[in-house]
Amino acid sequence: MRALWKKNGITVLLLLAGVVFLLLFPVLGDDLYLLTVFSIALMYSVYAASWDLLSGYTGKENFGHAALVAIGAYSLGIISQSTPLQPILSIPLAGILSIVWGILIGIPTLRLKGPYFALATLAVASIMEKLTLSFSEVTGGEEGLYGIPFLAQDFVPSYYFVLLFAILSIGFLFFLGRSNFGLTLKSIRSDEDAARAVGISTTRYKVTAFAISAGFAGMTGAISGHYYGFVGFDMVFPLSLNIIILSVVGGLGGILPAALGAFFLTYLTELLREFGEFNQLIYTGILMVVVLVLPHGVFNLLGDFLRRGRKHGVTGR
Amino acid sequence: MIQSLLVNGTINSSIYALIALGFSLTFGVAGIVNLYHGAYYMVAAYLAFTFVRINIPLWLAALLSLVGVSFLGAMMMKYPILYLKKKGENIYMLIFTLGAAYMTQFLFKLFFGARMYALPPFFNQSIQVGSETVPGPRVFAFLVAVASIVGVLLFINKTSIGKKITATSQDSYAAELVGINTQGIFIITSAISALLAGIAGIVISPYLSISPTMWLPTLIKAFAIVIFGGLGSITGSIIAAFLMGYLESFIALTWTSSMTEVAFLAVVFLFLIVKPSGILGKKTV
Repeated sequence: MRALWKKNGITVLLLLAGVVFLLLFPVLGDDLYLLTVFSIALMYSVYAASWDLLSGYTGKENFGHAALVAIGAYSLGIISQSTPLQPILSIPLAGILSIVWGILIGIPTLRLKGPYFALATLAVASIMEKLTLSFSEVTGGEEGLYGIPFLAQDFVPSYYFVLLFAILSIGFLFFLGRSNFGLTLKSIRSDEDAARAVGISTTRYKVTAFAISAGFAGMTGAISGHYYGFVGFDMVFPLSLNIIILSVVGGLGGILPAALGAFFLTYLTELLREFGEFNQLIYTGILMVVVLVLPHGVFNLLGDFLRRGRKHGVTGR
Repeated sequence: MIQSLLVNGTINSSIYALIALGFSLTFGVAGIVNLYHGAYYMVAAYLAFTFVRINIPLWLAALLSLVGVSFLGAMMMKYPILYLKKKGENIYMLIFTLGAAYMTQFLFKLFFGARMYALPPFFNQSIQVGSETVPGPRVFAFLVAVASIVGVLLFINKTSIGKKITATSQDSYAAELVGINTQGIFIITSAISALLAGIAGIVISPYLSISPTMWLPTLIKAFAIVIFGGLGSITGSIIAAFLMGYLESFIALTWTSSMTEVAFLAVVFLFLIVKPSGILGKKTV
């Protein structure tokens, strides 16, 4: 903790200021539109942070994160058709189901290298996407599932719920990333064979990282279901790609850059909404420019800059 | 039924093989998983459609669009891809090419709208194969696909540029030592890959529709086939393409055509778990 403060004083202060701003925001004004935008942006930050724990740290590019979100969101949606689940029950349930799913998928696929793993995860997500459409009696198909209890009766309590969840999750993932566990994951990215040679059970670490990543994705999926009172096809499956974009623009391998990237990019998308058809074009344009010019991500770079001349800190790739 | 399965399966497989061949070639030679590959297929179809719409004769339109898409392939490799390759982090290559493909989709949607188009047929004489009547455009697509695959294999195995491509794929460092301009070879290979995908995009567009989202299912199939066959193995890709084409026709005939993609991906997924390196391991071109 102290080391974190010494090296990154300004960054920590800025982050605290941001958190205080978000906490006070509903008190300062009653802009319901911005409140909704912030809530959505916060959920996306957790998606990005959970993606980063596996893909940013171990270098296993998960091209099907939406599959994990879908497990959480759709299990909530399907159960809610017969018995409405309250968030206190559904969020842990979604987390557990996603973790189990993550372990089941992770054990066979995480042995695969590079593009093979990317394809395997992409295949799982595409299969789930097609099955969701085909079994529309159960999943609601393109229409989606309605009748999910809302997080809270009003916007402000919902917002605080999402905010609290986001702070806790991102905080947990961040400190997990800085722990020995995170360092071990990074050693797998640098050289998996070498990591195994020094006695690290790389499979166990990778599967654990995937399970944790899946758990947070699933819980956030359930929360977004409660937030909208609805679980739908377009809400879940485009996430696979979007999450990658959000995290890469923010920066990989440090949880916070990815989460900040997701928050600000989601906010930016809302601002761009008035450009109508052009906004997707601008969005992909930003992605390509960032990959070519600032491949370490906007917020990794900013963090390094604020670290006063230290070139490679804990978050740098 | 068996005849219909064989005929349709063979036609679809030949198109898959054509698309997968280009994808495999870029990986085998330059070591790049190019997720823009599906977009070449789409760009060629739209270019040909645009040329036909401004009253250029069909054949000339097809040729012009193939030249255009090969040029695009060369430029993609020359500037962004080789630049990112030098930086050396694979994830950025995957993300850049995928982002570029989405950007192309959004651009086309802006210019052409979300509606679907088709090209007029190149050849409209249906042919009787056993008890199966095969429509002309499909016969044409099959013949062109087979001719292109044979042509590229001959080019790689018989010409001096082809031999340079093989050498680069085996060991690009050694190839550079004996005086081969490997950057140039990468660019030529990328142009050939784009050309193959472009040919596929043009020959299918008289009977399948042209739309701004046509690239993604094609890309996923090509990716799956190439991985199934073993990344970088051309023979493996062709075998995998045919297995997949027949599997799809079989599922469509015996079950439902909406499940073909699921079955396809499920088979590849299960196969990867059993044998992570694909049918033909890790050979180069």
